[in-house]
Amino acid sequence: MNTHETEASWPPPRSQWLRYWSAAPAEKAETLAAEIAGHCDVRDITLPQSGLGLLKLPDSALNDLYFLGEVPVSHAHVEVIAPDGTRAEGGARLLDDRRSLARALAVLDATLAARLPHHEQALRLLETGRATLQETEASRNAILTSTRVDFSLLGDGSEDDDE
Amino acid sequence: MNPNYQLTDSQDSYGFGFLDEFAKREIRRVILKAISIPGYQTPYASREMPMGRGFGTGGLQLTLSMIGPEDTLKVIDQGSDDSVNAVNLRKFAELTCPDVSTTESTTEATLIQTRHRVPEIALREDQVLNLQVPYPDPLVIVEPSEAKRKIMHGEGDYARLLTKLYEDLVKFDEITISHRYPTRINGHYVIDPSPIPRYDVPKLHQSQALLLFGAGREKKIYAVPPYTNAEPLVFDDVPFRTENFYNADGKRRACNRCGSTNSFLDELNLEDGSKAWQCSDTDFCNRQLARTDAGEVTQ
Amino acid sequence: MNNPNTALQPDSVWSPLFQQRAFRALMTAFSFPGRRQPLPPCVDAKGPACIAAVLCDNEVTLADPDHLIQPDDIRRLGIGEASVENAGFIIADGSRAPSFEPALGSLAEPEQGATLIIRVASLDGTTAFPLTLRGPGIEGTQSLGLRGLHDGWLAERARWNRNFPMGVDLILVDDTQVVALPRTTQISGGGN
Repeated sequence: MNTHETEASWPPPRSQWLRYWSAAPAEKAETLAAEIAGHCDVRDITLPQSGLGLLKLPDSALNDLYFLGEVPVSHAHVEVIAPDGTRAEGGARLLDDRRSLARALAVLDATLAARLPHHEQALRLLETGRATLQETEASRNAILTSTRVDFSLLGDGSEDDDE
Repeated sequence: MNPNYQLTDSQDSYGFGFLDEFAKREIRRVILKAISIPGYQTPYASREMPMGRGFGTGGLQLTLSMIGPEDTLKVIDQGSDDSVNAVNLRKFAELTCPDVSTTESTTEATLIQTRHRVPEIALREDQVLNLQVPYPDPLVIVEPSEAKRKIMHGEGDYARLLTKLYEDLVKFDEITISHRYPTRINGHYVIDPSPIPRYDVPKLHQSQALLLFGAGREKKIYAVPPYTNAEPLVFDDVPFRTENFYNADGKRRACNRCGSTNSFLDELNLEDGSKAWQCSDTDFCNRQLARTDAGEVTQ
Repeated sequence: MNNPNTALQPDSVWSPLFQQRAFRALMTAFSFPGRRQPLPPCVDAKGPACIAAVLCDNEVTLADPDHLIQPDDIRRLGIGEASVENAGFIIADGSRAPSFEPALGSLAEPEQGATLIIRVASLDGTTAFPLTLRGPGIEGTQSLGLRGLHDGWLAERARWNRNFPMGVDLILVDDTQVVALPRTTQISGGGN
């Protein structure tokens, strides 16, 4: 995730869309997806699903695999057919337990990718999400800065106490 | 964690029947296999339920995987609709299955979940009985290894179980199993019919309704299909006997509430130290009582 | 019509309500072998696809040698495809004689025997070659007339099921109805 690169370019690459959309209010995404479904034909290519995924990580000492825990995962894969017959596929896989959200974002994904009607709104939602993310990031950076320790003050030459 | 987390109304509760669709589908597949192989303990992935295993989770998973809005559910525990286990399971079904109606009447119910009893009133073809089973395998008392028990079941080899029954006869002149009486289904598999009294075993034989058995802790489901032979394991010269409720004079005791002499009776210890007998099936008892009252009024 | 999603439309084969109703039809069909059960109505599938949607998901394997299920539906099912010899579920065209050996399970695990979903032309009463069924779930005898089932199926079924408890279970399906023939059902009569 190279944020510097993606923040510079607009619109961001498709790989970043889900990240931004899921930072925006879910209700807005679902309302917009419902609006799109109102005049486009939306079909499930696979059935939207949600559940728990197991995350396996190697420990740092022996490199043995262990289960970090369960994470919520939801998944959707849809096809959107515009009134003029344009077809587009969209997908979403989220760390979230809301199947409906995954499906809504998959619809937005297809809409924006093929520039179907209403893709401007999807783009605006992308902006909202990005702003939220940047805000979060800025506040986190501020916290990090405020807790930064200046190590140069500690080293004044009298630290060789083991001799 | 996520400040934007909002659940839409459609997702802020469990789905119909509490179990997710994948769990239901698995149980449904297993039910069909269990019916196809009468009496065979079909393994399944018993789910965690919001109650302890041993409190009827096996029967409950059967019920929840098949119940629909058109169903009328009856839940009984030891024949009673009002005991704690029955009330809790019924409330759980009411909570998680909107539109399902519940009843205490055996004849109105389409699904009956039960613990330790088969209703007195004969079931019909359009009804399904889900029994809660604590210990599904009758061979466990003679063979500790499940792998060996599975082979014995497959071969229909119940010699050691018969030996156990024979030892009982030698020692006590009577087979001492009071409930969970081993019963042979369709001439092959022997099942543990769950802790129903001997009195109920003949009701499994050629029943009109499908009988399903769910053992949640032991992760097994088995079935006695309608119109299927269910024969208690006996010897040719020692016929199967059921509880007879005779008193010291050899007279059949009657229910002290409804007066019935053809139902399974519970023995009650009264406060004065004496004993009384009453129908275990409360719905049956109420029906008898209503009939007697009506009869008295018209006479 | 497209929102909420497919699985929430009550008349879709993927909706929980349809699946529950269709399962009850199947459970009744297995309880009373040979009796026709109507499948609940749905708009987006018929016959074998309905049965597959009710019983199959990514935990089972399915073989569809005669391609009776649309590729789109196969994807929605999310099933693992397998060879006919290993599959837990096999979907086949009843008008042709079977040319495969399904899994029969083992003595210790007879439930591993395959479930065969066979599409036939019609389950509606033809009395030309009635089959007579006996066994669990049948009071006395049950007769069954159907069209579009090759004789080879009954002969092969008898051979597959000769060693109870091992064997296969059959689900016969036309567009709207279903009949189950579990491995315990004995069949006599039939064409030719």
